[in-house]
Amino acid sequence: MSIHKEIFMSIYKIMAIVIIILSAMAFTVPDLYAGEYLGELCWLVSPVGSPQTGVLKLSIYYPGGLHLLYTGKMVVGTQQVPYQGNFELIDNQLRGILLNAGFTQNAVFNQSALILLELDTLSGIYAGYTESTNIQQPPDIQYTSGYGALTFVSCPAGI
Amino acid sequence: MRVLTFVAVCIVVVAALVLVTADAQAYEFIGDYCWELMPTNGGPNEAFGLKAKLGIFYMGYTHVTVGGQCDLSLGSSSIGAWLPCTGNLELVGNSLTGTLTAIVAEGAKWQGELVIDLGTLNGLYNNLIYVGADKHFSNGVMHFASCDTLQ
Repeated sequence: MSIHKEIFMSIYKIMAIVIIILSAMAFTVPDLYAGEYLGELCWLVSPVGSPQTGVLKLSIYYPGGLHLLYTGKMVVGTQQVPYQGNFELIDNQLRGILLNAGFTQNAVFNQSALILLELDTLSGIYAGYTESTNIQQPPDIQYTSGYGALTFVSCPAGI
Repeated sequence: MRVLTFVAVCIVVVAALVLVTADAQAYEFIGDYCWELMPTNGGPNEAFGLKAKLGIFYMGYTHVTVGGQCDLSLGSSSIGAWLPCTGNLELVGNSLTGTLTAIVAEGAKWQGELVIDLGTLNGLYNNLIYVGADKHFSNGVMHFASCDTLQ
C-alpha cells in the first residue's frame, strides 16, 4: 500500500470515529433534556360581584411526566400582573395554581389562586386570595378573597 | 476527495444538531418523588401536614423546580383532596432547601419552607396556613415515601 493511501485511510478512520461519537451525542442529549414549549393559551376572567373582566394569558410548558408548568400574566385594563404556577390532571380536571407578588404606590401584596378547568371545554372556575399591606402601616395586613369564572378564549391581539 | 467532502459535511450537520438541541432544551425531568409531611408541633387545630407527589425538574446549576399534587389530609386538617402545588428548591450544601405552596380553596392556602437531606431524602419543614385572616404555624418532619403507597 502506498504512503498516500495509508495517510488517506488514517484520516478516513479518524473522521468515521468522530462522526460516530457526535451522532451518539446527538441521540443522547434529547433523552437527558425533556422540556417542551407547547404554546400560549388565554382565558377571560370574570370575578363574581365585579363588572370588570380581565384576560389571563399563560405560556404552557411540558416538562416531563404528567405535569405542566406555566408562566404568564393577567391583564386588567392597562394593568399587567405576572403569574407563575403549574397544572395537574386530577379527577378529570386540570387543576392549577397561580402565584404573584407585587406592589403599588402605597401597598405590597401577595396573590394566589386555585383554578379548576374542565377537560372538554378548558373553561372553569377560580378562587383567589390576597394578602396586602399599606407601606405606611406595615404591621396591618389586609386579607381579601374572591372567586369567579374562567372562559377559554383565543388570545386577543396586542396583549 | 468526494469521500472527504461528504464526511466533513456530515460532521458539520451532526455538530450543529448537537449544539442546537442542547441549547433549545434546557432542563431535565428527574422523575416523580413523594413525601409525607407530618406535623410534630402546633396547636390541636393548627397543625396541617400534607402528602406530596412532586415532579422534580433540574433547571441547571443549583436550581430545581417542583410541580405536582398535594393533599392536606395529614395532621388536624379535614381537607382531603389532591390539589396542585408548586415551588422551587436550591442545592445548599448537602441539602435541598426551598418553598412549596398549595391553594386550598377560596381564602385559604398552605405555604411551607422545606429542607431535604440529600443523603436520605427525608427532611424538615415549617409552614404557615392562611384561612382568611387567621394564620396557623406548625412544623414537622418530611418522610420520603413510595408514590405507589401514597393514596
